Amino acid sequence: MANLIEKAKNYTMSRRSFLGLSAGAAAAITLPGCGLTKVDSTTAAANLANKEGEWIPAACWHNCGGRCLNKAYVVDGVVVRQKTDDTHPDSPDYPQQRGCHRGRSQRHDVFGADRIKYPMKRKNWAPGGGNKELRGKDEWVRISWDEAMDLVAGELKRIKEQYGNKSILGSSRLLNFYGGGLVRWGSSSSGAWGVVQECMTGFFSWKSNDRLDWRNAKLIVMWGSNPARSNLGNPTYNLMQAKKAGAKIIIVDPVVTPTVKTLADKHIPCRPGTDTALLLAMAYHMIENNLQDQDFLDRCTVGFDKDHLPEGADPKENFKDYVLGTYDGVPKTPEWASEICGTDPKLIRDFATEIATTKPMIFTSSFAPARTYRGQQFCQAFLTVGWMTGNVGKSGAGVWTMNYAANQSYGGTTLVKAGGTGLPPAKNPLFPDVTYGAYDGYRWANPKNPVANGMAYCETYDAILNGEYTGTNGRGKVPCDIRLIWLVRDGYGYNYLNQSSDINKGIKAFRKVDFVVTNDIVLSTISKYADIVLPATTEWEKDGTILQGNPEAIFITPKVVEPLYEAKTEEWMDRELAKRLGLNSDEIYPISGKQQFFNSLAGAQVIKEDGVNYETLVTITDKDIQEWGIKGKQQQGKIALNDLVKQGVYQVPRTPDDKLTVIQGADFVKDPKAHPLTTKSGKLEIHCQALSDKIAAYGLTTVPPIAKYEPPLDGYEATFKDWKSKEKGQYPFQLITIHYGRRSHSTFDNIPQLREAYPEDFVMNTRDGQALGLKNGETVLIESAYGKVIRPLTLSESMMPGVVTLGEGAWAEIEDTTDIDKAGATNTLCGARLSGQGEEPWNTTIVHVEKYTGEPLKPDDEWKQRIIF
Amino acid sequence: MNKENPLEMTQPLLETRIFVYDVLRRTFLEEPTKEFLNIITEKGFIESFPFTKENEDIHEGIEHITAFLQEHDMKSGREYDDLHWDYTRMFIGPDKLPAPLWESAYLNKERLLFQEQTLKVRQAYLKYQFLPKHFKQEADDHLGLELDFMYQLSELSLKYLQQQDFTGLREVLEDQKVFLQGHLLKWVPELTQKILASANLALYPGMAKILNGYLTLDLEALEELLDINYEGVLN
Repeated sequence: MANLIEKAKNYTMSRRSFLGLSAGAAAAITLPGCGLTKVDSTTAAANLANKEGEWIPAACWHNCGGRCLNKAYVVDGVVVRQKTDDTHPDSPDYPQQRGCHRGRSQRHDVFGADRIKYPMKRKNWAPGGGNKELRGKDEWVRISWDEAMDLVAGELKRIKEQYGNKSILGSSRLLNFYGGGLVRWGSSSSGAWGVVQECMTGFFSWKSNDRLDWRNAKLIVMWGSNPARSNLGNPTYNLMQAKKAGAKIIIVDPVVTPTVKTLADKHIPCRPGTDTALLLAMAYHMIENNLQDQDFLDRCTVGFDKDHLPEGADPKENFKDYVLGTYDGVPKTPEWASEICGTDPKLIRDFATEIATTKPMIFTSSFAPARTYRGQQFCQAFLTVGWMTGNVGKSGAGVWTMNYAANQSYGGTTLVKAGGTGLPPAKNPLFPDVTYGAYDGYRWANPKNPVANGMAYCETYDAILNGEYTGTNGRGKVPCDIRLIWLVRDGYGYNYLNQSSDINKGIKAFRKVDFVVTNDIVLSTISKYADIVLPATTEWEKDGTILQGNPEAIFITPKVVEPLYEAKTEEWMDRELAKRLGLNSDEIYPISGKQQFFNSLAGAQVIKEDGVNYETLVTITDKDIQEWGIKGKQQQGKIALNDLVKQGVYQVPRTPDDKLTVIQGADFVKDPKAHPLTTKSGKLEIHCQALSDKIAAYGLTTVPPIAKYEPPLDGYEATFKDWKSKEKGQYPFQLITIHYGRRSHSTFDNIPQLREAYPEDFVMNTRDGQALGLKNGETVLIESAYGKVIRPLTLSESMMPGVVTLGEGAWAEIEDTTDIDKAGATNTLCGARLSGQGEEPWNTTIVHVEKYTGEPLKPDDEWKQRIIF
Repeated sequence: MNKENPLEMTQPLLETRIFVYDVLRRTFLEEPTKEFLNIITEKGFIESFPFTKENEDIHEGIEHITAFLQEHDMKSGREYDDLHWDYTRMFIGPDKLPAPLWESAYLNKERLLFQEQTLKVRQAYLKYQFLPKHFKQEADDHLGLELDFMYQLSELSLKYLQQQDFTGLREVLEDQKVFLQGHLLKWVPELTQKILASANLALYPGMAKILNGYLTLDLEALEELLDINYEGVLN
């Protein structure tokens, strides 16, 4: 034995003299109270008691398109594990709402060691900008909340007073009360669908028959949709029930996706951005063989042929004559299309015959093919060809696009819904069409409103760098001087520097302004390039909310744990800033978060058995109101308040013989005159002048009133140097940016177990890879006109030749010296191009691929910490 | 049997333990303060640091720190900022942490915060009526808090010794041993490796080596202290 007791004596004299030296300074070196504190014996005993944990419903709040039940087992403030829906037995009619691998990784998101714990300031930032070039590579300093709030309020005030509100980019409740800011508008997820749905259908095809009726279909066509990867939760399972009931499933996609492998009877390959050509050729075959449902077209639509045009339309501008090539001399034959879309002409003819002759048929599209340059043309063609089959307003039939979680296999009426929170809206004076709740102008549909201070998503960085943007409604170029980027919202990230096109240009723009402030849960890309990052609470740390999306269920998610470290809610931050800006915070937040949660519960409604009327869902007693400590009154419903909050979900049970089935548009199809749609003609508009006019009002690109194919910017045709000789050009491959299993968009990209499960590999056709001498697993360099990424390669026959894919949402890791993004953020490759209603044209992107000659990448889950000097 | 007075016999070691845990908790509990740097740059700190001869890690750690202090003038604002950044980057954020300071980030399979380890550490604290200041908002198993706990119990053990409450003394020493074995010694070796691999400057690697070395040595110290028949030597 070392005999430390003895040896310690050797150190005594010098140690004592050291302690003696310090004794005078003892007061100065006492700990500032961040260590342990002594508690009284009662507190200690109470906390020592061996407590049973409890299951608390825990929010899974991301915009993945699904909604599922998550529960957290909480012991003394610690979430020990998670589970999902076990509130009732699972059956195809009444399925449990079970979470996916991402929802079940929610604990990893909330409790990751990389949570932002304190307000952080970039070291070389100072009011006015400091060293702006260091954004993204600077050191950070922890600051107090007081200092952070002083700095943020100071910059906001200085910039507003010196340059005006129009030099602020962003929207939030506080900002809206402080004069507002410029708004980014456009369409990300749903691509070009929004205005098309509004003008051609009056949002008629935004809805669908409910899922139980899908089992009556003989054929289901799924265009560009991959629910087995992109819509987790029940969609694939629900579709499987339709298949089991006898529906044949055909999937159109450039990739043999997991959904094709799981559900499809037939796969139709089609190159990205060329779907319109394929659809036109299908129309050609149907017209050639007189397979269209002429009666339906004549009664319920306008614009199919010259005899059924809306008033004032050019008689030559009808769909049938365009398809036949009557005036342009180009018949849109399957052979014509095949050269463009890559689908075999015979396959096109068979497919067209099959959809025209199989009834009832469901013809449904995802948003992905509309996330293309001038994507309206796809939406127009898809609806037109669908309507040609007459599958509208009937059981087992329909033509629609999948509208987020609702139509992604549920459809029908919303059977249960939350009440309002009672928090009054806060309008942005500079962009009144966008109110609090929508932080930007997502799918903004009012381009003729002259009060629209802001720019398309894809024009944001040019606006910052060049000082002007395209004004809608013919306003021409509008000058701007953007000084402040504001992204303080309620812990939802909205990581647009990563998730909007052209990250390289975005970084340049971020490095130009005076001040970038964000709040965040972890250091996402947009926060990495910020000056001050404030720690935000996750949904698990807030008062509670009701999550919706699935029309058959609502999810009630109370607080699970206390806010971690110094994380705060947006309300708290706004109140602190309001004090410093001379605003009345009680006016901004007249009711508390808890009251808002209570109001949305009290106002919740559930459908009655008649399938038409709604009734109050929640029973509330005086005792509940006292316990909750909020304002309210008692009411009678179907479930007690605290039972509902404990259960975490209210799902309406379904049976095939219930009265909740919806046949979308049955009345309209039976008698279009008596039940007109909200379109200009009251019918479905194959020729739609309103669409053409509205798209023109955005001032970006134009579309004709009928579906026509025009090669998109950065589409298939652009991969050639010479189209006729088919000599390939500088960027010979077409990239599609799929939703990736690792993440919900960019959320969860930091979670190690998901990184391990999904390696973020770049996938290309085996023969394409072999022709380039590339091997499975090696690191490749992918380059577009906008940027460069490196990724491990997977060669697969599941890809159409000439098509490559990479999952969207990886957090860009751009090396300053080489401009190479190691993480493979797809927006490093996708250019910021202006199109239609401001849709981001991600799926029309062309790239070059080669072997990477630098150091090969390690698998993402083995990545070491990025060292910042 | 040792006929020495147990108080005189063991007080130097108990005081040394208080001293070392005091230095260690200050090192890891918070960002480097001027006061902390005053302690380590104080004349005599390096020279009198205990057990440099008995433990190679402590010896190397002291050498790291000596070299660091020779190369870097902590009175210079810039040099101090560099050190500060080393702490911020490794232990605070806002980016991914190369060397997080929480036990559960090492011993939990999922390497998250607020896990089973956090609860177990909390139970140990509660026996002595301690809790983190921001209970339930900051994780109990932060290295600084675990070291603070060892410091507090070391002080308590000295108090018991001085009061000749040997039952109390033995219980505290036993609890310290259990805590050391059940917690700190299980994860500090990996943490030390991470600090060595990711620090820009030599101070924290030096302190990490001292930490790692001292925890091993303290287990021996506790065994020695528990081996003494205090009542026996009194009689």
